Amino acid sequence: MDSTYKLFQKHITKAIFLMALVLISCENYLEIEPPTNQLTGTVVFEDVATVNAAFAHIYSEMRETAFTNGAITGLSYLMGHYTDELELYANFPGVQTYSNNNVLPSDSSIKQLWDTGYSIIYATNSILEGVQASTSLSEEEKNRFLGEAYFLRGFIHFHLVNIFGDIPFIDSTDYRTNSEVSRLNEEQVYQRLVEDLLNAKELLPTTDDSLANLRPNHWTASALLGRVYLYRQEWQLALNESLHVISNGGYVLNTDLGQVFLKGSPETIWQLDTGIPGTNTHEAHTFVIAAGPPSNSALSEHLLNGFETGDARFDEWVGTVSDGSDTWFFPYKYKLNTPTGTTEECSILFRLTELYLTAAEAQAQLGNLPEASGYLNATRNRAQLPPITSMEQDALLEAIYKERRIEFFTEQGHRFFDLKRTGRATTVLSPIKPNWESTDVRLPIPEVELALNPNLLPQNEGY
Amino acid sequence: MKKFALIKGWGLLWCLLIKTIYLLHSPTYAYPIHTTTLQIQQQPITGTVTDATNVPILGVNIIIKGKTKGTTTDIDGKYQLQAQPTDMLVFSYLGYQLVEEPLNGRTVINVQLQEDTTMLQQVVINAGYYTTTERERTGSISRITAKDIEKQPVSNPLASLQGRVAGVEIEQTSGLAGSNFNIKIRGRNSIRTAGNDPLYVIDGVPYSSSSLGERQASIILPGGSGVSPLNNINPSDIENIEILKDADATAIYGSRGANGVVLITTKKGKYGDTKVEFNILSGLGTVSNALDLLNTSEYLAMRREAFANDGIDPLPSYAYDINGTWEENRETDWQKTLYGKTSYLTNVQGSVSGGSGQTRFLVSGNYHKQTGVFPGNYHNDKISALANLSHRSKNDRLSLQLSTNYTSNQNNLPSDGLFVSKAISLAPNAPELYNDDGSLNWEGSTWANPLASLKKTYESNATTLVANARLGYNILENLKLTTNLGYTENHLKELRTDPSTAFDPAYGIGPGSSTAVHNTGQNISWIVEPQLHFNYDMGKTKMEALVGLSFQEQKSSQRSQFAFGFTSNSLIENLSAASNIFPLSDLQEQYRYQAAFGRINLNHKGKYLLNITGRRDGSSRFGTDKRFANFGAVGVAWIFSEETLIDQTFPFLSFGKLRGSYGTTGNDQIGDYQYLDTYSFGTAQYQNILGLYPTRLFNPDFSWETNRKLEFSLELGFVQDRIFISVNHYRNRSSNQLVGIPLPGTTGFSSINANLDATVENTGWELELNTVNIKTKDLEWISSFNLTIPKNKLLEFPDLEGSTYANQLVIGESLNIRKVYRLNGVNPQTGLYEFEDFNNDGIITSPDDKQVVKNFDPKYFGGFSNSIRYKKFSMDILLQFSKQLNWNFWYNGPPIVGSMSNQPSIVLQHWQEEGDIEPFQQFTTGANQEGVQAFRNYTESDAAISDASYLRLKTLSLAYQLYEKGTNGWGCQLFLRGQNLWTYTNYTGLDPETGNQTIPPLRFITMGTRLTF
Repeated sequence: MDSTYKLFQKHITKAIFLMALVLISCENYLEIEPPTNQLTGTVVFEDVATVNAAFAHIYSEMRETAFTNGAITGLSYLMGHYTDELELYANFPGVQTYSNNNVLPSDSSIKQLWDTGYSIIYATNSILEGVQASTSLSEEEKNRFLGEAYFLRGFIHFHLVNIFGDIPFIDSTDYRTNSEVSRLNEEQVYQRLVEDLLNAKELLPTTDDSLANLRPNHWTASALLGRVYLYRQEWQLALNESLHVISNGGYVLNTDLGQVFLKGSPETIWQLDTGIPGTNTHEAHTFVIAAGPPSNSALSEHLLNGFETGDARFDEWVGTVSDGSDTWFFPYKYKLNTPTGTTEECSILFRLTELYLTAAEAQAQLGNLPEASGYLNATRNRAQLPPITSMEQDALLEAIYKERRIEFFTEQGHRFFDLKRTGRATTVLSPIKPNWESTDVRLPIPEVELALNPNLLPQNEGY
Repeated sequence: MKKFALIKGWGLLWCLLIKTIYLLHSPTYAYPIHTTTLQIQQQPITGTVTDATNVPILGVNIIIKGKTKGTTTDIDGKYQLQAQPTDMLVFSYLGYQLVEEPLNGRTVINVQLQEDTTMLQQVVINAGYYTTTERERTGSISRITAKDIEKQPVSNPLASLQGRVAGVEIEQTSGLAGSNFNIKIRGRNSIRTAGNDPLYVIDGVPYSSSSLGERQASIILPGGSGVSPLNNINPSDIENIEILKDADATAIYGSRGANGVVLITTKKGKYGDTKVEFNILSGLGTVSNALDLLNTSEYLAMRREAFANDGIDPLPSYAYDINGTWEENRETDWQKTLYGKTSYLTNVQGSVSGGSGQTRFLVSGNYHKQTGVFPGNYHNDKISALANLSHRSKNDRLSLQLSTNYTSNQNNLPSDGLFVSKAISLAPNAPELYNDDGSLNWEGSTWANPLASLKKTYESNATTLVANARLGYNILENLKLTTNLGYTENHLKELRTDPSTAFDPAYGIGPGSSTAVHNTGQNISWIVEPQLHFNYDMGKTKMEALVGLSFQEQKSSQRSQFAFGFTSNSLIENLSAASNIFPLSDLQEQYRYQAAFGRINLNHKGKYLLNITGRRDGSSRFGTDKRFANFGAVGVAWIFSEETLIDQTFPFLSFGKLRGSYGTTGNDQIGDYQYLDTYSFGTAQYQNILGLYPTRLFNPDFSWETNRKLEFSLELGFVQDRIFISVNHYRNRSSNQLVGIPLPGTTGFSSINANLDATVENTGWELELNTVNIKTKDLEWISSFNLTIPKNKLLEFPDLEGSTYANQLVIGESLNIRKVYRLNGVNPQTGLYEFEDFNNDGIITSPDDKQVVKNFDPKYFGGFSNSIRYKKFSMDILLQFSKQLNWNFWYNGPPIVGSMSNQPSIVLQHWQEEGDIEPFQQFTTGANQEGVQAFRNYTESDAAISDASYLRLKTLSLAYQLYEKGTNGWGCQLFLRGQNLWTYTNYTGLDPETGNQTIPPLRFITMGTRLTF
C-alpha cells in the first residue's frame, strides 16, 4: 500500500494533467445533435417554406382525421347517419350509435371530433405566436399567415360550438391555462370566433393564384362569416358577406352539374388537396357502392323522397347499384374511388352555391321576397327545376331549406347544422328516428375530457 | 460549470485511473511480481480423486491456487500436473465440496470429495460490475441457471423466469410467437405505464428492450409494440440470469436501476476435454382453452327474442342469420376452425466447448421453428449462434474474454389478430368458408369471410448481434484494471400486406387498392467501461474496492413506408411496384450516457459485511440543467451463525444472516429529445409539402425519477443448509415522478412530460424456501418454493383532486386500480341492468358514478418447483400461481347481447318477462337505446371484472439418462417436457393471464434427446 501511495505522489502532476486531458475530450459528450426529423420551434418561423409546411400539417389533418374528413369519422358521414340522409347496412357498432341517435360520451368518435379540433387549434395558436415573434418574415408574409391562422381558429371553433354547444375558446399554447379552461356559452364563443374571422378577412389577400383555392383567402373568410351570421340570424350581415363574395369574388356557378365536384370547378371557394398526387377523395371511397347489397351505407329513402321530380341533381349526384332484385342509391357527388393519373376531385369545404342560398335566406328573412327567390332560382335553374315566382315568406323559407337539403346532402354536416339552427331538428327527425330527443342537437362532451378537466362539467343535457 | 460536473466527488477515481495508465506504460513499475518464485523448479504431481464411496470421479477440476494452470481427472479419477512444492491444489467438482490441499513438498495427492448438500453458500453471484457469493452478498440478487432454463421449451428467456423468482411479476401478453412479456421487478414504480421496464444487461452490455416495430405494421402483436427484442436471445445459450432487486445491488446502475436490473450471462467453455453436445427437441402445441359459446339453436333463439323484444317485425333484410339467408341448421365451432390448429415446435442445439491451459472456448448454434395455430402457413424461425473465448496470459496478468451472439429471427403471422375476436363473435350458423371449387365463400356478400385475413400477411425479420470484450490486466497483485467493451446491433424489418384479394370480389376492388406497410428499424449501441478493482487484506478485515467509468451511446433509426396501388397483387411486396408511396415515419435518435461509479466492500472476519456503492450519471435525455445526478446505497450483513454463542446455542442452525440495505436509484425511461421544443415532419402531404407539426408541449425542466429502496432480509440454513429459508421485506418509494401527465384535449395534446411531486410506494414480502428432502445415492428430491406478497400504494399526490389524475388514482390505493360502476343486478320490471347512482342525480354517468375501486395488482404470486431424481430418471415440476383480478370477457367483448354476434352460454340466464330475476338483461338487437346504454355501462362496471387467479402447471419435465458420458464414452438423455399443461382458474374468458383478445399461452408437449460426446 505504501509503495502505491508513493508512486501516486511521485506522478501526481502528470496524473492531473492527464485527467484534464481526458475530461476535455469528453466535456461535450452529452451534447447530442437534434434529431434529423425535427426543427427547433423558432427556426420554423424564420422561413416561408417551413411556415407553409406547418400549414400543410393542418390541412392534411383536416383531410385525414379532423371532422372535415370524408371518411367514416367525418361529419359528412357521421351526421348523414345522425340525421335522415344515410341508412347503415354494415355492422359498425361505432356508427350505429349515430344512426340510432344513441351517441355516448365514451364513444371514441366523440373524442376524435373533439381532440382533432383542439389539436388544430393548438397548431394555429402556435403559428400565430411564432409568426408574430418572427424576425425574418416580411410584413406581407406575416399578414397572410396570421390571417390564415385566424381563419382556421375561427373555422374550427365554429364547428365545435355547433357540435358540442358551450365549449372553451382556446387562444394560446399555454397548456397550464388550457388544461383548466372552462366553457364559454355559445354566445361568447361566437363573439370570439367572429373576431378571428374579421381579422382573417382583413389580413388575407383577395387573390392568391399560387395557392389557388386549396388554402383559404379573403373570400373564404367572408364566405364563412356569411355562414356564421346566417346561423346567428343576423340577416343583414349574412346578406352583406354573401353579396360580397358573389359580386366581387370572381367565382361563378358551374352550370354543368356533373363538373361541380371536379377539382377545377369555378364555383369552388375552398377545397382540400389530396395527399398523394393522383389520389381522389375519401368521400368517394366511403360512399360509392360497387355492388349490392351495400357493405357500408346507402342514401335513405327520406332523402330520396325529398328530391322533386325532374331534379337533375338526382341524375348527376346520386348513384345507383342493384343486385338484380333490389336497388340502392348512394351519394355520387365525388365519383372517383381509385387513383387517377392526376387528381381530379378534392373534398370541397366552401362553394359559391352556398352563398346564393345564404343570400336567398337572408333576403327572405328581411322580407325582400323577390330578391330572395332570385338567388334561390339560380340554383334551381341549374338543377333544371322550374323557378319559384311568388311565394309567402314562410313557404319561401321552406323552399330554401328544402333546396339546401338537396344541394348539400352528405356534405360536411350541412343537413344537421341547418336543422339545428332553424330549430326544426326535433320536428323533422323525431317522427322518423325513434330515439331522437330534443337534447340530441348537441353531442356529448367526451367523458375522458370531463374526467381530466372537471371545469368542463357539467355534461351536456341528455347525456 | 456543468462540463466538470462529473468530476465532483470523483477525484479519487480519476487519480486511480490515471495512475493505472501510468503503470501500464512504465516498465519499472509493471515489473512482474512473481519473478523470484517463477524460477523455482516444477515437479510432477499425480493422484486420484474419488467420492465418499471410493468411486473415481471423472472431470474434477484441479487448479493451482493463484494461477491459471490446471487439469481435470480422467475416467479413472486420475490426474497429473506440474507444480512447485509450495503450491496449493484446489479440487472442485459440481455438487461436491471444494478441497484445498497444500503440497508442502508432496508429489502424490489423493483426494476424497464430500458431496455438498446444497452448495448454496458457495455459489458465485454476478452483480454486474463485480461478483460476490451467495454467502457474502449484502444485496438482494436472485439467480436462475441453465439447469432450470433448459427444462422449458420456450423461445423468450423471460418466459423461463415465470414462477421461479420471488418479487418478479412476469406476464405473457399473448401466445403468439414473438410476443412481449411484461415484467415488473418489485412492482410498478412509475405512474407512467411505459417507464417500468428493468435494465437488461447481456454479458455486460446494456440491451434495449424497446421494440423497433411499427404500430401499423405489427398490429397483430398485443400492445402494438412489435416483436420483443428479448425474443432474439436464445434461452439455451444462457448460463444464468441474475435479477438485482434492492438498492445495494442496483445503485451501481444509478439512473437505470430503479426498476431492477436483469443480468444475462451466456455460456462459457469449461476447462477439460473438448465436449460436443446436441440437443434435439420437437413438440406439439395447442390452445388449451375454449370459451363455452351458444350453439346454433340457442343463438338463433337469442336473435329471435332480441328482435321480438325490440318490436322489429318483419325481420330486416340484413338479419341474414335468421331471415333465411343463411342455413339455420349449420353449426361451426369457430374457435376450433380459426385457432384450433396444432403448432409444431422444433429446436436443435449443438455446441462444442472445451479448454486447456490458458484458453477456454464455446461455440454453439441453434435452430428453432414454431408453426402457428391459425389456419394457413405461419411460422417463427430462429437461428442463433454464440461464440465465447477466454484467454489468460502465461504470467496470469492479462486476461481476455470475448463473446459474440448473433440471432436471426423470422416471424410470419397473419396481419391482424381478428381470428380470435371473430372466432368468438361469428354466428355459429355463419356460412361455409369455402365454395365447392375451393375459393373463398362470400355468401352473396352477406358476411366477411374470416379466412380473407389469410391473404393479409405480416412478416418480421430481426437480427441481433451482441458482442462483448472484457480485458483485464493485473497491475499489482491486488490491483486490476479491466475494461468492458460492448457493441450491440439490432435490426428489424417488417412487412405487412393488405391485398385487394382480402375483400369480397363483388365490390370490384382491384390491386390498385392493395396496400403494404414496410418498416425497417435499427438500433446500434456501444459501451466502454474502464474499471479498477482493488483488493486489500488487512488480516481480519478484507477490503474490495472498485471505481469505473461508463460511456454509452445508442443510435436508433426507423423508416416506415406505406405503399399502395399495385398493378398486380403478386408485386405487393415490391415497393417500386407501388403506384404511390408515402412515409409513415423516418426517425433517427441518439442517446448518450456517461457515468462514474464505485464500490467499497469491507468484510470483517467473514461475518460483518459492509458494501457501499455509488454512481454519478449524466444522460442526454434531459435538458442541459438537469443532466447529472448522484445515486448511492449502503448494504450491511451480519452472518450471525459465525458467532460462537449462536453456534453453540443453536447447533441445528447451519447458516444465519441478517441483511439490510438502503439507497437511491433513478429512472430515465422517458424517450430521447423530450426536453426539446421542436416541430417534426409528419407523414401526410398537402400541395406536395410534407406537414410540419408541433412535436410536443415544451418543458425543458423535467428530470430524473428518484427511487429510494429499503430492504431487510433474514436468511437461515438448517441441517447443513438442507433447509434454506430467506425472507425479504422491501419498501421502495418512487418520487419526483417523471410522467406524461395526461392533459385534456383542449391543450391540443394528450400529455406533457413533467416531474410530478407524487410518491409511489411498493412494499412487499418475499419468501424463498429451498429444501433437500431426500438425498441418497439413487434418490434425490429437491423442492423450491417462492411467494411474493406485494403492495403498491400511491402515498402522496399534491392536489390530486384538482389534477388530471383525479378520476384515475386514489391516494392510499394502488396505481393499478380501475374505477367502475357498481352493478345492482337486473331490474325485474324493466329487464335492464341497474347501477348504483352514487351521486343521486338520477342518471348513471362517468366519472361521478364510477366509484367502485378494483385493484388489478396480484395479491400474491409465486411458484413451487420440485426436482426428483431416481437413478437415471429425473422429473421436474413447476407450478405457478397468482391471486389477482382482471377484466373478464365483457370488457372490450363482443357487441351487445342479441346483435349478430355469438355470446357465451352464460347469457342464457337472462331476463325474459316481468318478475324474472336473472344475472343478464333482456336481449336487444341494439335498437333499444336504454338497453344499449345499460350494456355499455355493464362492460365498464364491476361485472366486467372478475377473479383471474390461477394455478398453472407451467412445466413438467421427465428425463431418462440412457448413457452416462463418464461410463459409456458418450452420453444420451431422453426427455419429455410439457409447458402450460394445466390451468386451474375460475376466470370467465380465454385465459387469466392474456385475457380475451389474443391467443392464450399454448400448451406444449415436447420430446427430445441430448447427446454428449
